[in-house]
Amino acid sequence: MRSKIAKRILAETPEETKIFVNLYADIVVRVNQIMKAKGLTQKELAKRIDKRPSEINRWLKGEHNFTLKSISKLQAELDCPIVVIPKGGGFLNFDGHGVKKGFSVVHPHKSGVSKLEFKEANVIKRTQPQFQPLANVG
Amino acid sequence: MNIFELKIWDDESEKCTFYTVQADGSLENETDIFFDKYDKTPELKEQTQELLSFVLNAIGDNHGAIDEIFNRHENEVDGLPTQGQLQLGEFDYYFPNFPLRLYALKVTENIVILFGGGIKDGSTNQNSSLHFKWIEACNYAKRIIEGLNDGSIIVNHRTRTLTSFDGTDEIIL
Repeated sequence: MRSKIAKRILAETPEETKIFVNLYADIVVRVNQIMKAKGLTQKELAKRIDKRPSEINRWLKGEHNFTLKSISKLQAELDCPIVVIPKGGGFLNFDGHGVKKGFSVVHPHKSGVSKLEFKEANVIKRTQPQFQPLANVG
Repeated sequence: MNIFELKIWDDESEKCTFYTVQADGSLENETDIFFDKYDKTPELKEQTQELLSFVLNAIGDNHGAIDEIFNRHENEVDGLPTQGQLQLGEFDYYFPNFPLRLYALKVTENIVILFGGGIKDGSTNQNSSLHFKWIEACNYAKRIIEGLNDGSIIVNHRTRTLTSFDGTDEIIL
């Protein structure tokens, strides 16, 4: 069950708002997790990028509106990708929770973005040559 | 504090079950009162949508109540008896100068109790108009934490639910 009021508000919420909120949360979580994995404190990170610790705290607490520049700076200093843009073939799917890595299942009713259509990418299928015993017979 | 019921607000999210509180005699629970009020306030409608999406999508579906995004612990409630990961915090959503605050008690990464909230229009909770709502949330949280500590509320990690000591879903405190 879900609160009726939550359902109503969520149904009226523009898809772009949901995507923005999720991307923002994903970035904050990602940065925090990289720092934790690398054993970096906010103070150390601040020193490395010549910022005040309070400024880093604002970034990680989300009180800072991330710009591409600030993300790039963090990515360079953490030496780890924060935002990954999918490249190449395959499918690009939207599922209403932001862009997911790899292949994901589309839930048109859940996402509310069923009007968006993504065509299958051109994929060159390489098949194993079949054994043809008489192919080289002169 | 009056009698209140601890009840499910949302159990459709993939990673987190959200509970809320409803005071005895009240027609609505605290979380619905909060969201309904600010959704009907034209200048705060967009922020209300963002906050709800943050709670249900970012936390509920994508991450759970992990420390990386549940990081607004209130200093004022440090004195509360704590057990495990119980943390009283506020959802104020990641954005500069975000005006809304929604108070919450994290029981586990998969169970969160939502209370009410208000507009953060001062530098601290004490000098904001939401001061009363913050005190109220702290009082609800104290009672719930007492219940968790004395065994009158049981945490079921597998089903992501809270039950009464007798195993029923009805939790009256």
